[in-house]
Amino acid sequence: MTKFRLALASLVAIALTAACQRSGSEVVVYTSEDQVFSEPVLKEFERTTGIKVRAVYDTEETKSTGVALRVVAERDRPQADVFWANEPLRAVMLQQQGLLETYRSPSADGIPARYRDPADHWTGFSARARVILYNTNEVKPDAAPSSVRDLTDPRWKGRAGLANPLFGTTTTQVAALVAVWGDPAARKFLDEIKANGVRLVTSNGEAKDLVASGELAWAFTDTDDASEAVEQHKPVAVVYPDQDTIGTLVMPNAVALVKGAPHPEAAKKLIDYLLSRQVEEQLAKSTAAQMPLHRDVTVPSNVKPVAAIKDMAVTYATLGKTIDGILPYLRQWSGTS
Amino acid sequence: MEWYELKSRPSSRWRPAPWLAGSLFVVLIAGALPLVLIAVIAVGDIARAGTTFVSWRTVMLLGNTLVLGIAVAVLVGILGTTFGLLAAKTNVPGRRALVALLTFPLFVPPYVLALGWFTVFGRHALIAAVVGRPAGIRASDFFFGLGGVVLVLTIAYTPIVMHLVRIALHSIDPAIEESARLRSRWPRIVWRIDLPLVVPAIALGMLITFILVIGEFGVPAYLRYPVFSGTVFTEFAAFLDIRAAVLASLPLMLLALAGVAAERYWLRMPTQAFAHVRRMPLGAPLGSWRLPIALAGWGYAVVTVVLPLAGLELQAGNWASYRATLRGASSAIVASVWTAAVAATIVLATALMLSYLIERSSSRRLNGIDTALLLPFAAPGTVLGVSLILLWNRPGMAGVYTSVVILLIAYVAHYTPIAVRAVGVALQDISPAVEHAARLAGVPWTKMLRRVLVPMLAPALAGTWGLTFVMCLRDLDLAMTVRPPGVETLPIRIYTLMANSSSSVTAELALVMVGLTLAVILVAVATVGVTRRMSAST
Repeated sequence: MTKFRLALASLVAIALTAACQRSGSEVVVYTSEDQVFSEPVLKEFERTTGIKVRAVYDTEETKSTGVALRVVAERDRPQADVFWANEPLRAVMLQQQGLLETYRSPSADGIPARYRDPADHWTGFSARARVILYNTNEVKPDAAPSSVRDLTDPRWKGRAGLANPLFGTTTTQVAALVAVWGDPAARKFLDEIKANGVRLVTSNGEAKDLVASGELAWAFTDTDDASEAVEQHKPVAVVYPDQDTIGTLVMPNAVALVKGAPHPEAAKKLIDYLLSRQVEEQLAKSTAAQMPLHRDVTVPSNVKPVAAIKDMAVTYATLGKTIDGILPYLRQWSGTS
Repeated sequence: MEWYELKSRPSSRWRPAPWLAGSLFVVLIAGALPLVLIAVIAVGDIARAGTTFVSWRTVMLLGNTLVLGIAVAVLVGILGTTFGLLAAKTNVPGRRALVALLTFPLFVPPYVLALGWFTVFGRHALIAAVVGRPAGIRASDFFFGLGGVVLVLTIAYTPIVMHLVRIALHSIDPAIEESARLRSRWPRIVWRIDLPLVVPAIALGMLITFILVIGEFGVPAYLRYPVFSGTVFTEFAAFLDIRAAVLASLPLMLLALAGVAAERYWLRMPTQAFAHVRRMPLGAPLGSWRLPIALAGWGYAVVTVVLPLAGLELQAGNWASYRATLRGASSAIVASVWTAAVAATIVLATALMLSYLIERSSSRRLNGIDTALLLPFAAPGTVLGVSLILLWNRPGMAGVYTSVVILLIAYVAHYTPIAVRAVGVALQDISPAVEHAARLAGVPWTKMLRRVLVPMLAPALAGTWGLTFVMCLRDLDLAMTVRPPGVETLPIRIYTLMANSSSSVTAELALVMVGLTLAVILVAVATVGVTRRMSAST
């Protein structure tokens, strides 16, 4: 039995050691910004401040239930200090549930007011856009789709793709269309794209892969996915849709202080850092090719400044209520239940 | 034999009760408490079920789920039994290598396998390149639908039945087959003697597969086959509604229980118990069929395993790229291996005690524990994970909830049930007379366990440890939901890097996972071998 007891004692010791590994100065961040982009930013923060970052990474790929859900599940005893979402809608939904604290970061000063929550529950930075990615072997440039309305064009029956609007940035896109067109017109549009056999895929990354492989002629995706495909020299090209009409949807990252955060001071330092010009420049220069919201950040040639595109006129802070109204319909529409 | 009756003799050194109670306590804390929480939430919210979930759409989704679960379970049963027989009973050339090769798909999450198969069935993939574009379009139409889901999940889960059958066949007393040989030839012996004896193993493998398949969401979502597990996911991820998601998980758990009932119905014919005399089973020579069967077996392995793995390898980068990927994933690799190994060890110890409690008790009530035990496995990983968060994220529990301990609890809760069944199936084949003899000789219960049962169950215990280790290592839903901040496992890293990383990184990580699992299993097998040789020589 001695060996058995020794093994048991070792197990307990390992578990306790792991349980007790806590440093004095740390910050816990839950982030849905893709790990390949967020991890270097957080490591740099750790290096420059000496504050240990403990991150829970997630992905907008529809394989996980998401870090926003975890913030909800932990509402009675929050473990996260900072919530860093890759688009503003989930931050708005958490704000509606009373799970976010107000914090006005000094770094937010140069960021236009429309990309911030008026009550400072969350602040936007480094944005992406919803763009059309098409396969250049399948589609000639002069025949390329240029509007979200092309999803209903019989020309593309069964050849166009869209990530499931219940998840990720497609939810934000649908919420924005409802805000701009009104609920009845948006529902009619959704019914039409369903009738046109638009392929619902699980994520924007998958939409990009299916277009790059020629499985789909074109699909909506985000600029970071599109940029990656372009960098890898896939046979693809990008269109910023609806530049003559409603404009292209721009979606900033959103960062927020979680209500009841265990480490509020370290959390504020991380939020200040994420909203800094330095991070916006870092994300612009990465494969993410994100668009800085501070006007004076220099961007590489492959990144379009926000000012260079006509962006859709939506108020992000009200999108939460908009999406509440249409989510049950989307559930039926997408056939999930 | 009834252990509680034996316990009543204070003078006896036969005292299993504290050990059995201890293992029951582990399962109650890890698995039963979250289930109680799920039940409380569901009962409190049952009124909403009618308005939210009762629709023809729900019926269709449940129908699709059932069709998928049954199709994959039946195919896995047939293929797994065939390969288990080939591995354990025949002289097919290179059978050990064949078994190892066929096990690979179990080492990676099914979604990654599906990505591998896309390199074959995509509209512009291998089939299109070899046969032509129209064939590629037809292949893609087949792949994106029920056909593709059945294909991917069947290949993913065939190793479970194969190994359970292989282990069960190794546990059959050769004396029975030798007696049968006096009157019958080999194919008939396999059909009439061996197969009936391994039916519990086949049924268990099919049941595990059925439960895993009906809870699977990633592959059906990717291949556009609507299933009910999407409802649970939608409530969580789109609506952030925990109560509705818990409620939506109930039909899946009821389907899993229906699977258990089907298994029980199949097994209602009693199987006889035989005492083990030796380990090596008799071989059934294939004769003139050896070559065709070898070609068929190896052909299947090459097509179903080598092809998608080669697809991943083609996407992977060079050695320098591998090194960079490994450097980034080193902490995830360490965390994955040690948590899976520790969890598998705790699960095995608990499963040994609990299966003894269940198999050696004549009480119907205790047999009912067996069914109840399957519920934590039947609960979708995300639902179990969220209920563990609600349960353990409390004042004074920081040492548990914010550390890897919560991950270990989650693994133990979710995977102990299948380990109990796997050990239990092997225990059924050991006559209680062996234990009676030990007890009459005055051997303490714990010593009998170590010196009699554990050696006799060694193949089954080693197999169960390996299966549990693999299940923990490849777990995604549960680990993703409960992992503490700053800790990631390899499957989590694969998924979180899948978005926007180059496809080479994902492919490399998937192949690293295959190699890593294989390496740990080989080390474990070698360690068991050395230990057994050392104990035999003393």
